[in-house]
Amino acid sequence: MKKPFKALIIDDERLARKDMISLLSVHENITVCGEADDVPSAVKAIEKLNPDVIFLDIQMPGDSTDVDAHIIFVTAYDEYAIRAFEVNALDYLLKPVNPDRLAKALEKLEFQEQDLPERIRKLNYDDRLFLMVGRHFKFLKVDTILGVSAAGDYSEVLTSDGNKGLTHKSMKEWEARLPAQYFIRVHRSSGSTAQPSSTWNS
Amino acid sequence: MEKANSLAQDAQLQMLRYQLNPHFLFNSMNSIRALIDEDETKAREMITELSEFLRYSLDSKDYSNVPLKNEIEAIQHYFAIQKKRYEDKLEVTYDINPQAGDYPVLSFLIHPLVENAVKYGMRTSPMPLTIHLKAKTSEGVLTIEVCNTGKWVESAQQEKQMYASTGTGLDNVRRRLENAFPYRHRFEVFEKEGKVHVQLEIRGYAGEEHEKAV
Repeated sequence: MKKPFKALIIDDERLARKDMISLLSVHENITVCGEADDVPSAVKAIEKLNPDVIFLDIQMPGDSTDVDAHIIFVTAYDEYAIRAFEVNALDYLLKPVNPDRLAKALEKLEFQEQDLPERIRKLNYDDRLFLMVGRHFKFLKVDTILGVSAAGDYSEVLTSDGNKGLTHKSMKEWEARLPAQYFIRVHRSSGSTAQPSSTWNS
Repeated sequence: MEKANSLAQDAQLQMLRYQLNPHFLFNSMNSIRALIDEDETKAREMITELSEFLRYSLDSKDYSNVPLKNEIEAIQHYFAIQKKRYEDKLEVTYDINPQAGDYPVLSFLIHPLVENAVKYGMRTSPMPLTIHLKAKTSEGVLTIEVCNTGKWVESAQQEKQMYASTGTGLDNVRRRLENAFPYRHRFEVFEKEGKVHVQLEIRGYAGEEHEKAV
């Protein structure tokens, strides 16, 4: 018995969403819980439905939820072009999606789900994270992150280009993933704020 | 000389990129696959339109002297495909003066402009994205305008970052115009009241010059 997953499909073309739903329909453990055709409706759907996996067309207008969901990019762009700016995706599928390739991605999903620590890898400065900052989807380059501060179970990110907002990531997760010498913890007791360490240029 | 050759090659590659945009091709295939179950007639139409468009793209070898009407026809196929993809998110209207149809232009000159209108319009316009294509001639001057709802996306910088694209669509248009119609054209892009206007004007033409123009 395969583990069940809730999937959300984000694509601005209805037919593309339809195609994805039809491809997923043969996989019994996947339930498509919702669809979204733009960023505001995607954000709403993510908050309301709490999906396990998101199929996302990268073309989706500009701006991103650091969701707890796995992200699978589905796009007609060349895979390597996408890899170049995104690291926290589970997989990349090319349109029109090959059903066998989709099955492999879903296997990956199952595997990753069993073995969570595997997917947490250290980020490099030139990596990009796909995050929801505030209510926008954003691609954040790691070296533009000026600071992260705790906000309850969440954290607030401040970037050099003036972006600031809440993300769903906890301080612990940030610590696990950011380059080691990048951040030091100050005020360990009072709200733990992470800031670039003095070794940041070295 | 070598530099000229490599520039010519670059231009040719650029042309190919516009003519056979893989992104457009694969997205169209994707829509067709979804349409097969839902509406066979539409799926068939889309294959016809896509074939026509591809054939035109592949056939236009002599790309320095093409009657505007052929270009417009190819653009109409292109929009018919996009309209089936985007459905009620895209509206396209035409205002083509029949006399303008014989005016010789460079092949795939206007295409990057309509492609940009779809690409950036989809990102910046309230839905539906509305695109208006206008062409007229008056006293030997050909005027073409591509107008879309949305914002002008300044420079290709963002594009480069987001999509690792070469982002040289409009630069290429400018270069080709300068080569083919030196001092006889005007090319302007501006944003006004929530709409992006791209205007192109070509004044008079001499057959010979067109022969060498690439």
